[in-house]
Amino acid sequence: MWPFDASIESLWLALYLASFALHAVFVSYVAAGAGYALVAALRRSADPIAARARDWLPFMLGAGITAGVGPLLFLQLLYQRRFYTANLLMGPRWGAVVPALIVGFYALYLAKVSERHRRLALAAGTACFAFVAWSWTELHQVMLADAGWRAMYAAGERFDLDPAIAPRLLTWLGAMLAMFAAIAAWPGRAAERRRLARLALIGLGVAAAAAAVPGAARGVIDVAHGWTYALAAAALAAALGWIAVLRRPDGAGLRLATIATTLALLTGAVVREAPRIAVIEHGRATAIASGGLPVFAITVAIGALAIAWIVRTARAAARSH
Amino acid sequence: MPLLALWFFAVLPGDSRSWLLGGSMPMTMFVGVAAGASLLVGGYVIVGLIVQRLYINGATATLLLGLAFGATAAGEFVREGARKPYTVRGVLYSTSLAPGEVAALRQGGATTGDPYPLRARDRYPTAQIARGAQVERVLCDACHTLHGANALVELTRTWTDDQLRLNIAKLQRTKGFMPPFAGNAEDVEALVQLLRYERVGRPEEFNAMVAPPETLAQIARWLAEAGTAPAGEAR
Repeated sequence: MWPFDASIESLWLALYLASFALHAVFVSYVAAGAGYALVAALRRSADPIAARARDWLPFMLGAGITAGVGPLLFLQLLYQRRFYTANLLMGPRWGAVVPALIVGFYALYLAKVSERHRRLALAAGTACFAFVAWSWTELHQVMLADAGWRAMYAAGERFDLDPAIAPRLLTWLGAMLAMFAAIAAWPGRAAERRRLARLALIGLGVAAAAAAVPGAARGVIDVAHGWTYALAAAALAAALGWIAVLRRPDGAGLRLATIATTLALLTGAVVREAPRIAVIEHGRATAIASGGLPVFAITVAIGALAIAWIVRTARAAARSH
Repeated sequence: MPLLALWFFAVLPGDSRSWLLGGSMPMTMFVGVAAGASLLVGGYVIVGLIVQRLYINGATATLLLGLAFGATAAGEFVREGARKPYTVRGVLYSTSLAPGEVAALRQGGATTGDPYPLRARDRYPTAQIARGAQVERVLCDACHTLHGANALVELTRTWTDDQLRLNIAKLQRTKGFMPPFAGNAEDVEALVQLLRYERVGRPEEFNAMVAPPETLAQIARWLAEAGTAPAGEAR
């Protein structure tokens, strides 16, 4: 089934998409959650959703960064020349992503423990994460714009102001809001779930509008071998689920919204990848012949066991309290 | 961790191990910093936290964090340095060139196939020095700067012109952790003239030397003598 076949690159692509989707769950919670907590702090409202978000944000960012290592490695395997070239062309402005993440990470801890510095810390954190999101969106565009690399280098430009960047970023910000809502709603009470349902619907609407506008402007919508239809169906199902949550917060709507959001994320990852699948680089013979699949499988198994042990330990500790 | 470090040393290629164990004093010092800082952190954990059951305050935690950063940074320096002249041993030089590419670049020149133009070409007084700048960008810029960190101008400031030509042409023999020079005699001469120009502070009026044919022939002989293989032990 497109885009997967029996090649080694297809295995890397599948692992990339799966690990990217997992990464997106965590970073969506961080980006949207930090923004939500900032708004709540500015309004000085005693918002339980914001309080829970502040508690969880440092952990979620740590998980997001850790879960980002996998897709980062697979990205380099699939688009080595494009990824490295875009890195070098953007240079120090791209390197600023790392200090931005470090500042954002400690800002989240500060927001968690200090009421006095909360607004400033959340504003700094949200700005850092917005910068990282914009940077990744820009890098994605630079990777694809190989026709402009030479001119970009010759001019010494560190920024790419492609008009596709803003709607692409807006699409992701809308989707991130919907994903944040899908996670944050589970421990919430009825009123909180209704509020998150409204936010999720806004997020889905923004994402759909921002994604459709550039395609409509060009007169083409890339259906990506039908994956776009699957994404639209999943997003519609998620919206219906959230509408059901608005009517009956304790009903099955949240379950439907969560499952549909997960499916939308997975199908969306394929749709996002579709335009550049044609430029995936074939694996080098030395890389393919170097082997290591058993070591990879053993490491995956050890990682899964370690995560399971940690979850079990945490659950046992929670029960004992 | 000490056992893993010993394993790391045991399986390192001989030339890399020799740099870490005295062959290159900066590398040896970084090995010492990494080992010493790790030892201090580990020692405090065992003696202070486990045996003595001491309370750890913010100041001590910050100090330990600083030591841990020092150990990590020094260890990373050692790890990267021990790979030289490669990024991936036997596969990719630190110049991002594969060993198999060097021979072709010796014939065609270092900037063959370089799709990117030289920025601000007009600021160079001659075409030869501009070529030297492009050679520097292609072959040296990954690890060196001209005037900043690991500066070429400072590393070569006291060398005579012929010494520059010889040492660059036989680069892997000049320093064992440098890759073979991946360009031809004209590239070596262009780089030499660039370094002379940069050494005197990029003057408005620069008397660029035009190397006679016999100088270029001598450089070509040095390149041939050095060969295209790295200087390390046979692999």
